[in-house]
Amino acid sequence: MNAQLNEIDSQVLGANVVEIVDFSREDEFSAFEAEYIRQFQPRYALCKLPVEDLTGIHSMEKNGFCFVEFQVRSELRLRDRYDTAGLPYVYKPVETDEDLKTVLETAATTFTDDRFSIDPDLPNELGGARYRYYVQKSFDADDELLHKLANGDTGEILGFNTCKQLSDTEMLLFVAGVTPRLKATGLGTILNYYVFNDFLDRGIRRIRTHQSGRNYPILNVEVGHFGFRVVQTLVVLRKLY
Amino acid sequence: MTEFQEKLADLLGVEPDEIGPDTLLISLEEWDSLGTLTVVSMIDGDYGVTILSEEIAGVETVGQLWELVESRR
Repeated sequence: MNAQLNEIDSQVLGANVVEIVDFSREDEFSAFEAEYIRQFQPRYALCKLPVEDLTGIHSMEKNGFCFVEFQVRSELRLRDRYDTAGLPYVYKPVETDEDLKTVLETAATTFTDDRFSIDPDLPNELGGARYRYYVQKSFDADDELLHKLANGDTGEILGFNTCKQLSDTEMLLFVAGVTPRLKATGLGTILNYYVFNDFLDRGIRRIRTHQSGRNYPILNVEVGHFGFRVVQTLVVLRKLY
Repeated sequence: MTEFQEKLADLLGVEPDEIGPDTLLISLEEWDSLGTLTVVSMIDGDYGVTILSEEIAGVETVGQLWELVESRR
């Protein structure tokens, strides 16, 4: 069992956020907790456990950790291209500061289901700030991609996505979002057509992603429309200090 | 309009008599991203009218959606 500092979440919270990895019920938790408190002085600690591990979940609950998110991990094997002919959109990398500013604003306002936004014991605005940091990171990182979906006629940016290439044939899809006024209009699904076609062009054959279990619209689209296969479900527990 | 309502009801999983011109689309449980895309595809295929997401965002009721389709035919 190890404790790692989550740098982005720590920046967002303005205090250290620690993630417990390789959870083991065999280890004595109170000694482990005392050690990570000594090392990091965290405001927030989190632990992700498979939903099947009820004993582990109950153990963490007894140690003061509270349920905050249900996470669904899923995969899709890409086969055929999606038909985007006739659609008036363009899908391109974000390259300018002006485009980045627009995308960051969308990221800060369009997502409402992450574990910071919904936590009753944290300020509401933290969720938006968290996504801004994550999208900025994808823009800056050499091994991550940030693309925009824009109206081909007006150039208006309508959506974006971020991802990380795991191997020659595998991609980890982080987030895909559209501007708030266009949510539930079908554009999110159209955005994914462009994203997945781009993946195919890059030789990608398998997509991995994860969603919050409370995001029903996205889960329905991923599983029901695209055919993603659920491979793991996780309970996220957190403790505030 | 009646035929359009019936097609809409079928795609969105409600009975035809459960919706009318004043029905708010957002009040229909299956009017989500995927439901919207399915309806847009139906309108394109059955009525030859292409409707963009930006236009759907301004539509609130079943009647307004039909008016948008009619104005393009």
